[in-house]
Amino acid sequence: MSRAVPVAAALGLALSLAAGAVSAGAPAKSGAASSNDPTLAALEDESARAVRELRLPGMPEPYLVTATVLDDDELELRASLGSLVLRRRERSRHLKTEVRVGSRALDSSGFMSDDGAPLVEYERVPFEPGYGPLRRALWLAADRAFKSATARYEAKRALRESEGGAQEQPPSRAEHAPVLSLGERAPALPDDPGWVALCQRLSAVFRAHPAIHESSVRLSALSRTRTLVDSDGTRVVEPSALVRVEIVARTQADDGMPLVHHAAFAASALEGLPPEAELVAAAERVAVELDRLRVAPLVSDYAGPILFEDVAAPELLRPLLADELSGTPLPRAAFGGTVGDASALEHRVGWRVLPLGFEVVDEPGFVGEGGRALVGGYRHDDEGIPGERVSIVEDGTLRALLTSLTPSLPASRSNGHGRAGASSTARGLPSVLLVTTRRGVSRPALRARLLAEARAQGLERAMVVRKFDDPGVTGSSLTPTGASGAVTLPAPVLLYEVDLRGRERLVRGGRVESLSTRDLRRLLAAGRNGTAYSYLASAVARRGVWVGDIPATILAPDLLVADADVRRPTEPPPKPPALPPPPAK
Amino acid sequence: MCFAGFTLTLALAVGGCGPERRAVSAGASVRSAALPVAERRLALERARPPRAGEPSELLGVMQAELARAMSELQERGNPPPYYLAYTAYDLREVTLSASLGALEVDTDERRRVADVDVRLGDPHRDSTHSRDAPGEFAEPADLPRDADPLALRRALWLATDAAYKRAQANLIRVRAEARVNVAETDDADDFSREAPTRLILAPEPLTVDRDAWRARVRGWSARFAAHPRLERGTVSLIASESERVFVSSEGAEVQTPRTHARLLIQGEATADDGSVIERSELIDSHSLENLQLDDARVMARLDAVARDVEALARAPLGEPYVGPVILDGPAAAVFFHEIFGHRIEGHRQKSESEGQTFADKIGERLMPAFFDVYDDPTLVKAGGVDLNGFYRVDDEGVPAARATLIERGVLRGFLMSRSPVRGFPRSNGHGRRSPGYRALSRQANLVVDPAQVTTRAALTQALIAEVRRQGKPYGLRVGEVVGGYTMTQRGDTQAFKVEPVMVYRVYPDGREELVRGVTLEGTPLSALADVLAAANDFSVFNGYCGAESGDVPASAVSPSLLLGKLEITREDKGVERPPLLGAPPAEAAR
Repeated sequence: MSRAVPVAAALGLALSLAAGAVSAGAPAKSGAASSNDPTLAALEDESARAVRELRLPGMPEPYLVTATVLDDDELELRASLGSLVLRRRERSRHLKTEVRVGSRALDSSGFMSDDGAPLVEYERVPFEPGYGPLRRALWLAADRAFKSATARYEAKRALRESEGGAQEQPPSRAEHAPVLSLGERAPALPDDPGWVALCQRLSAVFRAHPAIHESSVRLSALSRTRTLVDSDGTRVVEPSALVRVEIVARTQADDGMPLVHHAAFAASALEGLPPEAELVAAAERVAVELDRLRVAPLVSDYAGPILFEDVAAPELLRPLLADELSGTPLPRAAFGGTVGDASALEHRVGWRVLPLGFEVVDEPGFVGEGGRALVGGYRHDDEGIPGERVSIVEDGTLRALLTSLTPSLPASRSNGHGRAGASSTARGLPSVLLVTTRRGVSRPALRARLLAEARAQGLERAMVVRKFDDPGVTGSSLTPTGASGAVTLPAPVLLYEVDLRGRERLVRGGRVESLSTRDLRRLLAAGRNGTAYSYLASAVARRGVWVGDIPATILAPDLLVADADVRRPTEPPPKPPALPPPPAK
Repeated sequence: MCFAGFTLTLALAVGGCGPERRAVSAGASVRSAALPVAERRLALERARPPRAGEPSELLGVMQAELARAMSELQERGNPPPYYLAYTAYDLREVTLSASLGALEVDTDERRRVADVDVRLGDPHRDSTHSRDAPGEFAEPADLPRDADPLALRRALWLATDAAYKRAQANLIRVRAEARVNVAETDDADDFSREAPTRLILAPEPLTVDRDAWRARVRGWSARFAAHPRLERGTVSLIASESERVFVSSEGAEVQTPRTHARLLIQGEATADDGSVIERSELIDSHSLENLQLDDARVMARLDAVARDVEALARAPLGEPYVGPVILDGPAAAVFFHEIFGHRIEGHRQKSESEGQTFADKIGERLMPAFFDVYDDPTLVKAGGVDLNGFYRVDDEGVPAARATLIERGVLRGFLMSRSPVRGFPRSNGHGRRSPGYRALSRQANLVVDPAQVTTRAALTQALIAEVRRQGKPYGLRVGEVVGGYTMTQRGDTQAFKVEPVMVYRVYPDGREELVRGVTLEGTPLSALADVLAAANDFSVFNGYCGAESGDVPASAVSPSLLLGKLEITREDKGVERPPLLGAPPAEAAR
């Protein structure tokens, strides 16, 4: 999902940063959902009973029960070549239940037992409002969660005792005051605000491009109410919405090389999509650029400076920076080690991670163009903690990581970035990540710097990436490339060779290799204006996972990297189609 | 291994008890001839002639693209295909599910998908050949829901290209294997010659008054509140419509509708020893109207589910046992589906990784001489109950026909798709699959039809006599079976495992005691040989059967059967305690 932020918005960003403003979005209307609400009442009554009465003889008692209800109204549409292929509408309610036994100092969380029992119970429950069915579902879920938490706690304690107590351990759960915020419930999705016709019209653009083998337009809309209740008194009701349009097209070059191109848009309000003309233009651009890519020359291997322009800059920062900002410790595993990949920046607080002049802020309440919250924003995170503006990097130096209610030794409190997705436990993840630099330069100046660097390295050309493939949108598989330690990046969609006179030429087939988070320290230069890239992050702490359900946005300026490789694929391409396409008429 | 995915049962006695005429002979093993003869009451209905329809626009587009693709591939293909077929499925499924009076699922999904079958080589040895592992899956292509020729033809083109490339790779493998390995024991062709079918039927659109059904499903599910021992109770309605359009380069044109409706009632509780007790009732029919659901009927079924769960939770655990067993009609139907029906599938007779239990037994006696067993997809009802396995044309475009399997106790034939077996060169219309899979021979309506039946009461008396004769403390009655599986692969034990839910010890004094936590195990040849007698209470089992060609709707019809011996083993059980706290109140106290 990408959307260029107009200059005004970029200026707005600069102003808000300059003023150090803490924007929390529009205040929630308190009392919109009251304690008479059957959903709240059922969760309150049963979580209170569970923490009070659930006991196993000789075993630690529960000290916290947290229940989250996700009420979803979803629509999915898919169209191809002007025809509707799929229409799916579904209302659902899911209950997520966590029971913690022990105490905040040491509890049953953050530990994966041998049997792989989930850390939270997650199940579908009746979506129609009512006290009885929900309370009954929580009764059974809390029962299961309590039993598995007890077993986990004992296994975790046994592991700790076998390790000796030399190393200081953070507590299991941070302290926080109960949060009370009863927002309005999210509205039902409108029956069809012209979305079916919109998908058909957007997909019909590809009818005029017979050399494109496959194309589809997908529109998805989600209207969600999250209701969180814990046995310590936190009550949060918060609505959210997410509408996405994804235009994906595929073809093969004459030599058989598969090519994919896409355009993606996302909005955090049901009416927040760009105007149709803008979407049609994007579909046209995908079609025209893919037609050009089909006949573009194959890239030659390259090592040297690369300029990441437009959405390619935030796309690059997703794996190199955003995915490495979690300050939440990884769960321990019964079989040893941890579950997931530790953040590359975990022990780098106080170190320089970007060039001087760079600032990185994560602001869940950031308000973009037209006073509208950006995709990924929220008032309270998935643990019910108010989302704080966190100054992550100041003048190039890492100052803080994004934290949840699971403390680490350096960070004892949550800064409201505990994000969980639907069925996982929360960990610190970005919401709206704003990357800026005081030393940003104009695009012509950046180009000049790119060419100067190429010259200085004795090269006859330089490379520009303007867009990467997004496996979360196109479904492309991501085969690891490059040296170990380097991050695997998706293949660039729009990759240009630029000669020393500045003439650019679209090429196909390159992969950018050998970049890692450390390389960000040696960025040569950056632009002035930010481009937004919205995506769905995964709750799984694993590198290279590009599909998830946690909305986030990165705003970043163009970035000039001093040294990276571009390599053409080594595997032979598949065959072109065995028979020509059917006639257009 | 073959998994037969029957998951739920519907018992319906369609016969009555006739007068007893002879007493059971004491001392010797029960012989059917010694039992009183009862009137045989198996009312089978065949489908009425269908309503002819007009070829759809979709069919026309599919034919045009198929003709073009075949012609292009004749020219450019390396090698060119000798056969090409397209199948499109227009699918709609409405699901409503409720628990304790509140809806949990409420969906209405439509999808149109297509599969492409390309065959390279020749009918004797082609690209689909597999020496040891039949079954192939390729994700079906999504098709646009309208009739736009450009969008439809482009989707079919891409699907054809992908299928052709898979076939090319397969053909290379098939030819290499033929040169590297010894000759196969069964050199039958890969694809039978069949006359192309032309059958265009009128569509049968599904109409669901969703508001009315929401209210009914909601209301019925609220009844579970009266059964607090149950941890879960749900009522679901699943109504579906699918139109299948099939065209082939041989000239077949088939357009057939299918509608189906199912009411599912499920209950669950945990016993004190940690066993999870699940019980379901299922009512299947060809349409929503045929479900014939009224409140009293549904409540009776729901209460029966709840009572069974409560009784099972209290019941003692069964113990390993071998001895005489009565399989009630629905259990006998599933039993036959598992132990016999899957092994009689044609492709299993030539696949060299299969046990081929019956491959060389044509003409041999397998059962008592009064037993006939056949599979007939053209049956639409048995005893007034709609049969899930009814169809007119199979998934390879071959008209459905009755397959005679056992005649007077002697094995006569197999379920045949277009994959011939030595001695059986033609299909009998049993090539079946779900979207994405390659068709294999599968069961449709399996009917166990003994010529000689006795009364249910006499069958019970015969069980008791057999218990006494074998010196056993009790016999068993299996009331219902939820499913099971049968291992048919060579190298595996050629055994079946069937999971009953309602199992009763039957004591010599006629007393019955419910037990739980057991499975039925055995081997097919000895189990068939151990069938001693049948009652006249034919029942229908409707379900969906899962195997290497996907899930297909299927039915089995059988009377209650007495087996001289069957082995019972302990099933795996859970270890989790029942809920620690009592159920919460249904209403808020505030």
